[in-house]
Amino acid sequence: MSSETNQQTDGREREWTDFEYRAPTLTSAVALGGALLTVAALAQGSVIHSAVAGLGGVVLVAGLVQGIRKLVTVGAAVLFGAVVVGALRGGAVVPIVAAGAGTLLAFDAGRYAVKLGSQVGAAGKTLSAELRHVGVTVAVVIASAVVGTGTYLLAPQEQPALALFALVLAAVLFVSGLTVGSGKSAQKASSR
Amino acid sequence: MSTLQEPAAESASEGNGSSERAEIDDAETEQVSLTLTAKHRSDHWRLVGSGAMLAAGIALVAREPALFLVTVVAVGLLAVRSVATPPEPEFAVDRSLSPANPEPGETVTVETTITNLGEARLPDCRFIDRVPDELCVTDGTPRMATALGPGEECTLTYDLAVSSGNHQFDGVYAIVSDWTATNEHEYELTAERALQCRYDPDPLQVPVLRTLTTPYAGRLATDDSGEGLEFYAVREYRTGDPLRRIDWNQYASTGELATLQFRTERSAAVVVVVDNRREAYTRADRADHHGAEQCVEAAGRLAVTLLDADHRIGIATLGPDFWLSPSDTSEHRRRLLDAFSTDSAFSARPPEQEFPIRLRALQLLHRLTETTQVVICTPLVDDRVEVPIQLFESAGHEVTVVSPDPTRMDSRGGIVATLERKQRINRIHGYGVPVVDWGQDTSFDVAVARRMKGWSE
Repeated sequence: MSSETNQQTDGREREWTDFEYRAPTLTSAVALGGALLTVAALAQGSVIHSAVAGLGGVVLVAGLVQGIRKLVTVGAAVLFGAVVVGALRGGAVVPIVAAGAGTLLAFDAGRYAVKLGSQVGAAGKTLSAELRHVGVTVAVVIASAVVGTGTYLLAPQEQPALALFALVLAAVLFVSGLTVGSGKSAQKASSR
Repeated sequence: MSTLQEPAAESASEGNGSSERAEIDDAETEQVSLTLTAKHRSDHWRLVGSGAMLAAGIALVAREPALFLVTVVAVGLLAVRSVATPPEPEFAVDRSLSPANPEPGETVTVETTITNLGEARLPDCRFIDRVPDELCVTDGTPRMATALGPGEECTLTYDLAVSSGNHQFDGVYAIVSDWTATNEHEYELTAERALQCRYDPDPLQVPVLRTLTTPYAGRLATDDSGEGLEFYAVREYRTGDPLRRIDWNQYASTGELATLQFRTERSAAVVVVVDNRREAYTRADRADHHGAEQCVEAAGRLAVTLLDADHRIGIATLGPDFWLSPSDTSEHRRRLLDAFSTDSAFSARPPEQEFPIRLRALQLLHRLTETTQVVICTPLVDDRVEVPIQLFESAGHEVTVVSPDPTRMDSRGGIVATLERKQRINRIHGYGVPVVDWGQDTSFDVAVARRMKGWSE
């Protein structure tokens, strides 16, 4: 059974010893926390949005526990949908941003937990890697949320809203262009 | 961290990458060679990116500033992700086993220490120690995920239940990722370590040979009389009989010459043939031993039993070649047991090649130079093993078959296999070759004793 082939796609598909999937604790907690944050933040606007978000959260956690990536993605998509609808129905800025940040955290942490759980599994020690990943993600999300919301709230009120939106959109597109561009060049360099 | 600094030798493409050896120059500590086996790029950032774009679009249309800010948050994370690629790792692996030379059935504690020799910080790496397939982990786990700074190390500690034979640790599997878990590189670290568990079989309590013998003095009682030690009968004197065999008592009382005959105890030359072809490495359940491993165990016990009875024993195989001429010295016994423990022909892993059975049987036949008995140890899982049985039997070497039973009637396939095997045994009985069927739940001694009882009746 010693199959050292080149065509392995996933650590999960190789059978080493008797392997049991289990999502690591810290990351699962962060994913759950993110989902709860979304639910709580949306509750300020409307209970229905909160309930839909709760459903998304349940699906995400189910995916986490079973180790199914698609479920985690679907749960996060439902959470995101609830955030969008809540924003369109006139939510206040800070709760919506908090809900969005919570969704992002839940999605990222959920996918990472499934990956680690499939590769390392139950009884494996994962704490230091988890701390690093989760810590960085949480820090970046909080920083972006604070900076973005702060900029918006502190912007002088007499600016026409459209100009402000256009500015933010330009910044968004610029940064995205950077990320996509450098991602592609990184691929090119590594496939030489 | 820059991908432009990767060595030109390592040009694996994305996704299911091809493997390329990345030999790294050795430093002071023993650095293991890495083989890059795969690169993955996670797709969940694309999903986040598309979600962010969607939110931005909706925000623009609906003029909702909150959604814009959600997009900003997502973009912040995306921007950070793009500059992260997994660094080029350099590892040293040190594996310690305690005890280093275990007895069969003992528990061995394995401690594998992996040190990051490189300059780069590895924020997210996962190690999976590649345990030999046939051994079970009883405590702890050979997997870990950790972050290693330059010079830092981590240790995998776990317990293994060891069975006899030759086991091989291949190395460690490492998955190195960056700290947003976007790109993953999988590496195989070559850190081989052999674990040899010495094989020490107990002799059986019952003899198992048929009656063919060779003209060497030994312990097997035969039916034809000749030179030997135990008085058997008296016959009429013939010219040329040695003087020391004349029954002087009878001559003294009756005046007639008569010759004493003794029951000959002759030793046998026996070659024990082990079926170690790939087909023999079957088992019903992952927790069982392979059929071939049980054959090695049966062969070991038989060999020790027969050596204790002063017979001359040789070893041969039907799969990967191994040959020891029949002999009975103590040196030979030691060599035999060493071979069962350590030789690659008897390893716990199935062989890669196929072996044409008729050719191997003929090779073996050429090596059997005198009247030799043959004991074939085979799980009888395919029909081709009947070829050597027939060949040896028809060439005059008496064959006994010892067959551990690897089948179980727990599934449809298992029932078919069990019935086919029983048919095979009946066919082999039809040639006049006895078969010792060692069932799953009986001990080997009991199986042999039962069969011996059957023969003597």
